[in-house]
Amino acid sequence: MKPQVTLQIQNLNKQFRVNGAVTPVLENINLTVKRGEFISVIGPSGCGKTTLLRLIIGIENSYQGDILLDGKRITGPGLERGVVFQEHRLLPWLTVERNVGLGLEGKRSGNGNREQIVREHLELVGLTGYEKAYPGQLSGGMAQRAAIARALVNRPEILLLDEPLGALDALTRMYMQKELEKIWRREAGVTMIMITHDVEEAVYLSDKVVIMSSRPGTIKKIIPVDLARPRDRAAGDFMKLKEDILEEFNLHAEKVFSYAI
Amino acid sequence: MKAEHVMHKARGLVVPILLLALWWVIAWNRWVSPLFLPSPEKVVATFLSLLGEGKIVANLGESLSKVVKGFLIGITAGFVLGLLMGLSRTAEKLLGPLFNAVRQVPILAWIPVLILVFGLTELAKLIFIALGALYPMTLNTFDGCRQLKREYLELARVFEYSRLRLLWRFTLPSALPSILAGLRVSLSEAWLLVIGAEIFFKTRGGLGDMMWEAKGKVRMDVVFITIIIIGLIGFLLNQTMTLLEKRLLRWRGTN
Repeated sequence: MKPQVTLQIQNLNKQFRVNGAVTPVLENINLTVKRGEFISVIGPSGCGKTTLLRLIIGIENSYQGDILLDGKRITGPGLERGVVFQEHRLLPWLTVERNVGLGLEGKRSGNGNREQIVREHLELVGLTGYEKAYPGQLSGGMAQRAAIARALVNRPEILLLDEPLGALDALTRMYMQKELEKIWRREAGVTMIMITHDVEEAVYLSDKVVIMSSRPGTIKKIIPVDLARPRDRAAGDFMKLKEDILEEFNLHAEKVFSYAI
Repeated sequence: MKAEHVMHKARGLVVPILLLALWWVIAWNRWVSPLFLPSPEKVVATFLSLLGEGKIVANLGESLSKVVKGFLIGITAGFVLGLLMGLSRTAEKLLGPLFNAVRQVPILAWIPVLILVFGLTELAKLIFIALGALYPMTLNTFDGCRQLKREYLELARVFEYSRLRLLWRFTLPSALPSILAGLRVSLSEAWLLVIGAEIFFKTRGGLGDMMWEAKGKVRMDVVFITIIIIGLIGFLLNQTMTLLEKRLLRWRGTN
């Protein structure tokens, strides 16, 4: 039985040095992520949420405090962490199946049946039939599905998503949110941490919503979402939760008093 | 659609045909001495007789073999040099300034050096041609390697790629359009220099030699023939490169 906690962030601080001046980006971040959880990190732009994710990915270095993955401090990227970036980052000169296969070409990738793994994951994201297509022939949503498949081929413990649906149009985004939830449920046990600036997306997908505030980036509040899945965006408790989160950003609808005479 | 396509292609032939007609009219009316402007019929007749003697094929073969050898040597060296400087900042710092200084020397200025060191040898000619192919190849390979996007570099780190895998999967394919452009320039440069080499290194054989010899004998018709062949071959070499580019960069049409 694997331990319950997969990722633990303790007293994390991070600064950037710009022209000699030290600017704090993240301050005293503490977060515990349980195995299989879906976590969203939401906050205004410039709150350091992307930096936080890049630190967890391991492509941003030097920080104070601890980011522990299964108890080990993160010092660089690793295959147990899959990544989906905001832009799909597919190679335009490779077909979809070969792009997805890219994830399996690393030094520590297993030597399993690559073709089969790729096929399974294309099926998982609903891209069967598009194996031979080039990224330029895909819509934004389809390209992002391919990127998700590529991030999952190594069977990572955690999937890290940096505003994965941010560049899609509103309808495609809602559709992809549904798909993402399906993938998360089918890949039982995979933990997902998603950066987003879409409150509805966060409430729709997450077990917990981490709200950050900016300059320096701190965690303002962690809101658990205890709603049954699949969630109904029109349900009262869904709307209520959405309102609560918007309130944290002072963006909720003004409450109007009504008087009955 | 098809007819339109043919029409589109045929448009490139309009000006050459007009020039040909003009040439014919001028020669027919003898507005210019036939010594300087032989008639098209005369040129065709000479061409056929030279072809019959086997001179054209022999000289063309000689020039083509030199261009292929020189080109291959030049692009190989250029690719290695460009890759080295493109991948390693240290190599760039060590070799870059020297390369950029040497590059400023016109290739023609190397002729005396090459002749004094290697004599009027095949090797001297090959080095001369290779040098012309080397510069564009080096520059384009270097530029191409530096075009690797930071986003892809991050991806390679996330996948834990080895340096070799990074090079093979990301750097070289990113650089390919630039490298192919380099190949194209190198090839046309090599073709230009092959004619120069045959003239300046004064050895037997090749289109350049054939032309130079005809000049000595005031055979303008032969000079014309060599010029036309040189132009046509250059054009064909360029077309070949275009086909190669289209084939290797097919994915571009999908965007």
